[in-house]
Formats: sequence, C-alpha cells, structure tokens
Amino acid sequence: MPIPSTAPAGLTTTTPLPIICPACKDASSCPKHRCNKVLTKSCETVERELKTRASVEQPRRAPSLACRAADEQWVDISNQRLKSTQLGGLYPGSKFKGVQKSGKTSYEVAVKIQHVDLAESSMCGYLNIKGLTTEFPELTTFFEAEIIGPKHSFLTRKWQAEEQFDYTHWKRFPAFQPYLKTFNQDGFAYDFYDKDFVFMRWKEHFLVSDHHLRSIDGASYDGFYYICYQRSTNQITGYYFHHQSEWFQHLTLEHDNERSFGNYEFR
Amino acid sequence: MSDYCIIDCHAHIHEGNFPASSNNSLEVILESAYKANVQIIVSVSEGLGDATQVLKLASQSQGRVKAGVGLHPVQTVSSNNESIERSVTQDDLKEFLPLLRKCIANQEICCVGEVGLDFSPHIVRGKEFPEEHYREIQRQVFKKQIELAVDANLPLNVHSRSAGHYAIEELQNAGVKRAVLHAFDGKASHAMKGVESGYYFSVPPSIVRSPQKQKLVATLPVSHLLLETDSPALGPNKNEDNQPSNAYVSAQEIARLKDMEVSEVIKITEENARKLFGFLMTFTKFEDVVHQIHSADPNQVFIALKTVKNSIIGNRTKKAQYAQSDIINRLVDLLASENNVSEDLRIQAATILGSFAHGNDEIVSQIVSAGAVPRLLNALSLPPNTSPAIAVQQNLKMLEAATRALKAIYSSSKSYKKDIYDPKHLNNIMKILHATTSSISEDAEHNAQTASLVMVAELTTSIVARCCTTLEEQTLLGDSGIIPPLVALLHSGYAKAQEAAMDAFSSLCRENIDISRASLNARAYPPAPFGQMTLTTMLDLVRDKGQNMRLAAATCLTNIYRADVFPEPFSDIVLVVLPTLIKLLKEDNTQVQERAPLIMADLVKDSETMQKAAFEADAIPSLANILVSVSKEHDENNENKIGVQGAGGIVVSKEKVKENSLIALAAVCLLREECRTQAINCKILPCTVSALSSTNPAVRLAACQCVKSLSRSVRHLRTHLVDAGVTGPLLKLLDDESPVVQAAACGSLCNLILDFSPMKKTVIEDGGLANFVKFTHSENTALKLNAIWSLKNLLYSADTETKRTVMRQLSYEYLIDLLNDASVEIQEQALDLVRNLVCGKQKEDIDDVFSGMGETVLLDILEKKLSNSNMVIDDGEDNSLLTLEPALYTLVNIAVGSSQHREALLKRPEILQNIVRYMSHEKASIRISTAWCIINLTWADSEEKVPPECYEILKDLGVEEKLRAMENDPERDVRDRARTALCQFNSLSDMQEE
Repeated sequence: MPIPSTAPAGLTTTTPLPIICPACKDASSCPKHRCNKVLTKSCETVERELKTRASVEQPRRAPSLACRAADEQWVDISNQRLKSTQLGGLYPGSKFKGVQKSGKTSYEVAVKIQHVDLAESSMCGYLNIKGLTTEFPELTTFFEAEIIGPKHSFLTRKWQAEEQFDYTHWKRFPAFQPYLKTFNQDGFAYDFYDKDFVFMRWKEHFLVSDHHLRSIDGASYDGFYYICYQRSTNQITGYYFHHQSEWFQHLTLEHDNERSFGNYEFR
Repeated sequence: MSDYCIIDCHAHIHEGNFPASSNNSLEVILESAYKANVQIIVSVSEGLGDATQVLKLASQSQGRVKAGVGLHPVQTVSSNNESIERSVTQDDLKEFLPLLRKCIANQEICCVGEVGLDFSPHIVRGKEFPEEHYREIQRQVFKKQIELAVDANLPLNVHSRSAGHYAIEELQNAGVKRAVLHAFDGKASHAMKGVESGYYFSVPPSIVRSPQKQKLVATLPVSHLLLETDSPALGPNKNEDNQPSNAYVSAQEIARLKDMEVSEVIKITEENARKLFGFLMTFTKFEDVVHQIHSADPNQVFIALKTVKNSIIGNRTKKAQYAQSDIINRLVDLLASENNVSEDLRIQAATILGSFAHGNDEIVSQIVSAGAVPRLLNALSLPPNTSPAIAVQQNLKMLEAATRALKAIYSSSKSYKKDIYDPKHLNNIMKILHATTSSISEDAEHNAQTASLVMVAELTTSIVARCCTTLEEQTLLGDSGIIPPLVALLHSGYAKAQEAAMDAFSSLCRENIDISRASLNARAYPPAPFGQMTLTTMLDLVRDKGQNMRLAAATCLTNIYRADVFPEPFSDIVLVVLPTLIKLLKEDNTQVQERAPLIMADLVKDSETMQKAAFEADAIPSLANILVSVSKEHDENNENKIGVQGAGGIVVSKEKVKENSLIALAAVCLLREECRTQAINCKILPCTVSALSSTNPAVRLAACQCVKSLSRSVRHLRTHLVDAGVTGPLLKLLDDESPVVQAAACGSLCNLILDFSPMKKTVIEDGGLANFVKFTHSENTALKLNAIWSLKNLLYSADTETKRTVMRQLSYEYLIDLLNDASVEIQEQALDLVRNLVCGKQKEDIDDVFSGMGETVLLDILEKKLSNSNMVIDDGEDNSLLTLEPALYTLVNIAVGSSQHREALLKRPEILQNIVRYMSHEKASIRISTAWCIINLTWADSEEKVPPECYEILKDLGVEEKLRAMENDPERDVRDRARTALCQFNSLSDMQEE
C-alpha cells in the first residue's frame, strides 16, 4: 500500500515518544540511547519501513500472550495484518505479456504477479514461456523478485553474478545511466518508492506444475533476470543472465490492461 | 524445626515405664514428642507384662502410638525384690503366644517385636545348662514368632545384642522380607548382608556416644536407616532417661555422618518407616483432628493445627481429604481478630490456609468462598499508634504468614483479585511495602530479622504483581505510590525479592506508557546502594547469573517495550533482552523453557523490526530445536527427562513447552519471508503437522497459529506446505470440539484456499467450503470472521462457476446480512467478497450479483458504506476506513461492466458525490481507487460506449478540478492514475463538443 500523503503527521501516531533521561537531558549522548548511533546508517531505511507499513499498521495490539489467563480464549496472536501492497502496475493479480528474444528466436512470455510486499522490497509471481522445448510446449515457473532499494542493492553478490556482470547488465537500461557511478558507493540506496523506474532481479525457483522437478531438457531456470519496470508506461524490460547461457536475452513485457481489481489477504 | 514427620521406630512407651506420678509422665513425653514433630511412635513390648499396657496406650493415642507385640529373648523377672534378667524359655513362649495370636487376628499391631536373639554372656551363660542350650531356645522362640509374623505379613522389630549376624541369618533363613534391626551392635559387614535382604537398621540417640554405631551408620546406605529412641533406654546422655523427642538427635547425627540436611534425613527415614510398617500418610485419625480443631481449649487447637500443617505439606491427597471437612471455615474463623484468638493460633491458621492454597485451584475456590481473603487482608493492618516501621517488626510473623497465604491464593486463576483495592487494604499494603523496603535498605546487616523483612516485602510485592491486571488497577497502584518501594526492592540485592519486584513491574507496566515511563526514570530513594536509574538496573538484571532473574527481567522489559516507551528499534532490547531470551531457550530448566518462548513471542509479534532482529540473532534454530526435541522425546517414550516433579507434571510441562515454542515460531514468522524459510529449513513442519492432531487443544491451537504464519507465502504454499500434508489435519480441526481451535484452523485455511495454493481444490472438495459457509452463521465472532475471510480469499480470481457454487451455498440473502453485520471487520470481509464476485472480465458475474442481491439493495449498501465513512470518529480507531476501500473497489469493478452497469452507478448521485469527495482523501490508496472509478466510468472501447450523460454528471460534480489537483499529488501512483483519468475525461469532453 502506498504511503499516505500526510506522511509526517501519520508517523507521529506510530512513533513512540522517547524517554527523557534526566541524567543527561540529551538523548544522543545518553548511553541508554545508543540506538541513535546504531541507526544513523540505516535511518532512512527504517523510516521507509515505517512508512510502507504505516497504512497497514493498526494501533490496537493483540494482548500479551504471557499475561493471558489460563482459560482465556484467543485465536490470533497478533492483530497485525499483512495486506497486499501495490506499486503502479505491480499488484497481486497484475498480468504482463510480451516476448523474450534469444538471438533470432523469440518466445512468448506471460507474467502474473501473485504477491507484492513493499515492506520486504519483494514480490513474486509466475513466469510462463511458450515453445521453449517440444516436450514442454509451455513452461510456468515461480519467481521471486528483489526490488532494488534500501533492502537490495544493485550489486547482486550471488547467483554467480560478479560486479562486472551487474554493471554490464544494468548499464543496458537507459534509466540506469544516472547511477552508473554511484550505484556501488557506500550508503547509496535507490529509493524505488518515489521513482518512475523500478529495478528488480527476478529469480525463478521451481516449476509450478511440479516443484520437485529439478531439471528439464533444453530449458534452464538457473539464471535470473535484471529487470527495469517503468510505472508511467507500465512496461517491463529485462535481461536474462546465466553465465553459461547466451547473454543479454531480452525480455519485453506490456501490462495487460486489466481494470478490475480483486483482493485477497493472507490471514 | 522441620516440617516433616519423625517416626520413632522402636521405643517402650507405656504406663509402666512412664508412670503418671513421675516427672516424665506419658502425657509429658508424648506432648514433647509432638512438639518435636515425632508424630508416630512404635512402642514394642518385651513380654506379657508390658504388652497389654502398650496395646492400651496405642488404642488411646489417636494413631500416634503404634503397638508392636513380641516376646523378648531376655526376660526380666523379679525375685526377692530384685529384678533379674534371664534368657527366654519355652514356657514363656507358651504363655505368650495366645496374646500374640489375638493381636494379630485383631490387627492391633504394626509389627511383631521386640523379638530376636541376645547372646550376651550374662544372659546365655547360665548355671544349669551349657551356653548352646540357651541360644537354641532363643532361636526357637524367635523362629516361632518370625513364622507368625510372616504368615500375618507383619514386619519384625528385632533385638540382636551380641548376636547381630545370627539374627540376620535366622531372618534370611525364614525368608523374612520386612524387618528392622534395632540398635544393631554387630559388624558393619554383617549389617550389609541385612541390607542386601532389604532389612532396615534403626538408630538410637545413643549413637552420639557410640563409635561403633557411628561407624555402622557411616557404612549403611541412608535408604536402610530408621530413627528410634528405645526410650527409656539408649538416650544421648548416659544415666538419663530417654524419650521419643530425642529421635531428632539420631537424625542430626546421621545427617552429620552422611553430610546431609537433617530435614532430608528425617524425610528419607520417614519414608523408609512408612514402607516398612505400611503406615499410610493418613496415619492420624483425621476425624479426631478435625474434632480437636473445634475444641474450646486453645492448646488442643494448637496441637491439631500442627498435625494438619504437617500432614498436608506437599500432600495433595491429604489436602483434599481435609478440605472436604469444614476445617477451612474453622481456619477462617480463627483468623478473625474479633474472636479473641491468640496471635499464635492466627499465625498457624494463616500458614495452613497458605499451605492449602498452594498450587491447588479447587481448594482456592473453597478458601475464597469461605471468606478467607478479607480476613487475611485484615491481618495486614498495623496498629495505628505505632510507627509503621516498628509495627511491622512487631508483627513480622503474622505478616509473613498472611502475605504467604494471599500470594498462594492470588496465584490461582480461581481467586477474586479486587479486594486489595479497598482503600483500607491498599493503604496497609503500601505501609508494609514502604516500611519493609526502607528498613531493608537502611539495615544492611544480614540477620534473621532482615531476612524476615525481605520475605514480607517479597510476598507483598508478589501479591501486587498478581492482582494488577487492568489499566485502572495499574493507575490506582501508581497513584498510591507503589513505584518507590518497588524500586528500592529492585535495588535490594536479595535475588528473590528482586524477582518479585520485577514481576510487579511487569504487571504495572504492561501496555501502560505512563507507568512504564515513571518506573524507568525512577531511582531508588536515598540512601540507595546504587542510585542509578531503574532501567539500568533492569538491564543489569537481564545479565544476571540466575536464570529466573534473567527471565523475570526480560519479561518486565518486554512488557515495558510493548508499552511503546522506547524509540524503535531500541538497541538494548535488541542487543540485551532478545539475546538473553534466546540463550534462556537453551537452558535445561522446564520453567524457563516454558516461559521464555512466550515472552519472546510477545516481544516480536507486533513488530517487523523485532522479527528481523530475532532472525538475525538466530532465534529460529533455537526454537525449532526445542520443538523438534520435545516432539521427538514425547513420541518415543513417556519417561521424560525434563522437570523433577511427578510424571504427570512433566508431561504437562512438556506440552506447555511444545505449545509455547509453536506460538513463538508463529510469532517470529508473522511478517518476514526469510523467517518462514529458515523455520521450514529447520524441519519444524513435521512436528507442526503432528501437533495439529495433538490430544491437547492448546497444542492444536498453537500448531494452527504456526501453520497460519508459515502459509503467508506463495512459495511455501506451493512447495513445503503441500508436501507436508497440512490440509487433512487442518480440515479435521474444522470439526474440533473447541470453537477456538476451529476458528484458528479456519484462519490457516484462509491461506490454503488462495488462487495460487495447490491445496485449494482439496480444501473445497473435502468439506472446507461447506464448513466455511456453515461457520459464517457461527455465534463465535472469531470463527465467523475467519469463515467469511476464507470465502473472500476463495473467490479471489475465481471463475464464474466457482462464484455461483459458493453463492448457491451462502445465499445472497445472508450476504446482505453479513454486509450489515454489527462487526465492522465482518462487513469489511463481506464487502471484499462482493468486490471479488464482481471482479473480472465476465459481465455476467456483475449481472449475477445485481439480480441475486437486487441492484438497489447492493447500491444502497455501498452508498451507506461510503457515507458512514464520513463520520469522524474520535476514539482513535477509525473502523469505517476498513469498509471504505472495499466499497470503492466494488464500484471500480462494477464500472468495468456493461453500459447498463455504468448507468446504474450514474443514477446514484450520492455515490458519485462521495467518490468525488474521496478524491482528496488522506489515504493514497483511497485516492487511487477514486481515480479508477473515473477511469472506468469514462472508459470507451469497441464493445462498450460511454453513457452519454456521463460527462455532464461528472463535470457538474467538479471531477475535472479534482483530477487536476491530483496531478500534483505527492504520490507518484496517484499522479499517474489521475493523468489517465483526466486524459479520458478530456476526450469525453471533446466528443461532447463534436
């Protein structure tokens, strides 16, 4: 869920009041308030976390578990809700269609987003690709997306993606140009929430039809996608990366103009 | 003095030995025995003469003197006014046997004795016959009596002077299983043979002056020792008559030789004696005691009270037995000061009430309804003319007994806890707390007086901790000045008292920001030993050596943290409290293992930051470890290692550990996917799934919570959860006997029924759907809410056929009721359900709802939800927001439909006005939904035309201006949607102009 327009006012209700320590009268130097020091680096992150959860957060807390009476009836341990969140066209149920090009061949691709959790900077969905192998004319995989921002940096640091690979891939997105020099700097965090362009990594994990199936002839999902999504146009572009596959396989997707919105919520 | 019962296993107590005329009359020695906790005396005979006296006394003693009848190998006869000792004869036996047979038949005796052999030279070296003759006759007399004892299944009380190993041989040859060798004077190696046959050895007080006996006791295992006095012989001092009260001397000496506590020796020897003689715990005729307690003679009452006190300690059966009599009413009467009862009796009465109440819910109910609580509270009042400090010191014993009793009563859930808030009582409690805590801090000396003061302070604090549950109570206590004495106690340095103070702070600060803040900032009043802030002390105590202290401190700080006083994330909570709790999880201490997971759950359950911190501090593997090991041990065998109480206690606490670790895992996994993944990788799923079928409803409930948290993930639903087979057990729980478990199971199924869950089909087909529909009619609101939630989730992204199937069962009529339910939360889910029904490309889905519910009815409801949300609600919780968004999105979805559907909306000016008004709502998600309303109302494509009146209506409502304002919205998504809407609106305007 997006943040309320009156964010600062909304925040005061959820921000606990600091203890005034009579010993020092100065929270920053009081040894009991060391947290301020700990926080300096990730302060922005925390604030963002608070903001994205703010609209979800409920003031009413479920009562203490330890203090409940032995015969007290209770069903839920917390009243915190886990509502779906939305970022432009990235919302549960949202669909995208397009192609993935590998050399001269291209394959039809359809993506359905299943869950978006902006507080965790993550998203997941299904990726359907047609005609990849004769045995499986259609393959659907489950993927998880890391949204580049305070929680996930541009540097991948896993999936066999070295820094130079990150660089060569991100650089192909024109929207990345402003960050060519800064993306690797300490303390740099891309604030996806306010930007037109949202960068992501999509990593496929298993086949939806059979999650136990580890490998398929002629098709692989060992790599991952570098993704750039533009909110104003609802377009997704991406590059598939796997050190043993052909590089820069190009994914382009258009949003399926769905105008009605269902809703589910994890209990 | 020990609280246990001493059994004198061998004495010669009868009128003959303790004549009424002497200083040591029977009455005197029995009274002093009783005061020394010698509660049973086995009095044995030597021959016909004393046997009848022993039997007479036993019959009058109310079970305190048990008779043993036997013919001694040495007989004392008088000749020429002189007592002469001689060896026993066949004639003696002939004369004696009828009495012994009669006693056995009448079950008048607890053992056969005193019997045995005595090969002392002055006995067996007679003038008439050779030594062997006397020995042989002694053997025959002994054998005969052994025979009778074995036949009657009675133990033998054996004399063996200078014949230790012969006596043991005789016993072994006759196959005797139960025997005590009294005042054994043989070699320790011989005695060990007796031990091998299971015989006991009773130790007289003369051991203090007998190196041989000391050596013997040092060798023999304490499991085969008994206490005796052989009164009037074998006393601690030579030439002084012995008496049963000296049995304690034997116990002391054994304790010294064995390096044990005296109380432990007494307890073990008591158990040994009970085993040997078959004395039940109910040895005292309890009717007599009950009778005696009502006596008008205070001394009688005092003795009876002592009997009760000693027999009920730690004995549930006894407690229940006494509680069934009207003894509790009598105790409460004794407590009343106006009844002119002595202080001693009142103290005893309070002590016994405390003992009754300890750990026994049923008796607590009884005590409470007998009116004990006000009486005990009255006992806390201090004399008005003395300073509280002095008054407390003068009344320490009464205060200790009364506060201990009150603590025991208030520890039970069956007690009524409001009485202490009577101003009179509250005032007393405060006086006591102030007086005790200031005396402690002033008086650094560790003496008995201080210990008692600390005890009263601790118990009073525990009472407060247990009685403080509501906000009003917290405030009242705070206003009465509870914080300074608690702070003083917290700094007192007495561990138990500090724990009690911590408990009290936990109760006071729970969800109370003002008291939390006041407590943290308080300092111990001068002359405080530390003078530091309470928060600092609490954090120090989190790092204390004692596990219980660490747990109490962590609990307290968790409650304070939950009161929102710390700026989050508060590093001390993350860096000190959380790791302490995680370390405590690994302690091999049942109480800690039981509590720590629950405290951790409280600490993390409402905060994503704390869940992250718990993850980073490796809480999940520790919790998983506990769950896995407690599940495994329980499955494999019922002989468990945790805990020290009875088997029942262990199983119960293991169940608690399982329940609480499941709850903690559920709490840690609520919001973060990495937590869920780690928990699943720690192999908790098999245990969790089997816990779903536990026989314990609390464990089933906890397992449901855990499944619910783990299933908040598309990835895990599609993989581990389907593999673990959660569906079957969860569906079964929909029929659970406990509605709470039903509701929790339904909650978990809410996730399993989602579009992307591979278990959706099974849940629907295996009775899930039918049950969800049924439960929407439940009286239980939690169950009802989860049922509607399930249906809402089920209809997300559903096809027309599924929608129709669900609605055939639920009925539109009932859906209308749900939309108007008293609970806003239910309204919200019902509205979302409608939103999902009208969602999608199928226009017939909207037709179904329009005709099923009635177009006007539906739009009336939506209109109402939109206008209800106008109302400003002052109490902070704006519930109407819950229904606003689903109502707006229902309209968005309807507006996607055919032109008829759009026309229906355009005919509702109230609805349209509200949409326009919400375009400047403070919540961005609401603003976005209004933009979508406009986009869909003005959408034109090849299939559907925009209703011609649309432009005029929207224009008159000022949509254009609003959209222009939204173009400058701080939220990017709102700007983007507003731009689209405006673009369409303008093209309508163009069409209009053409």
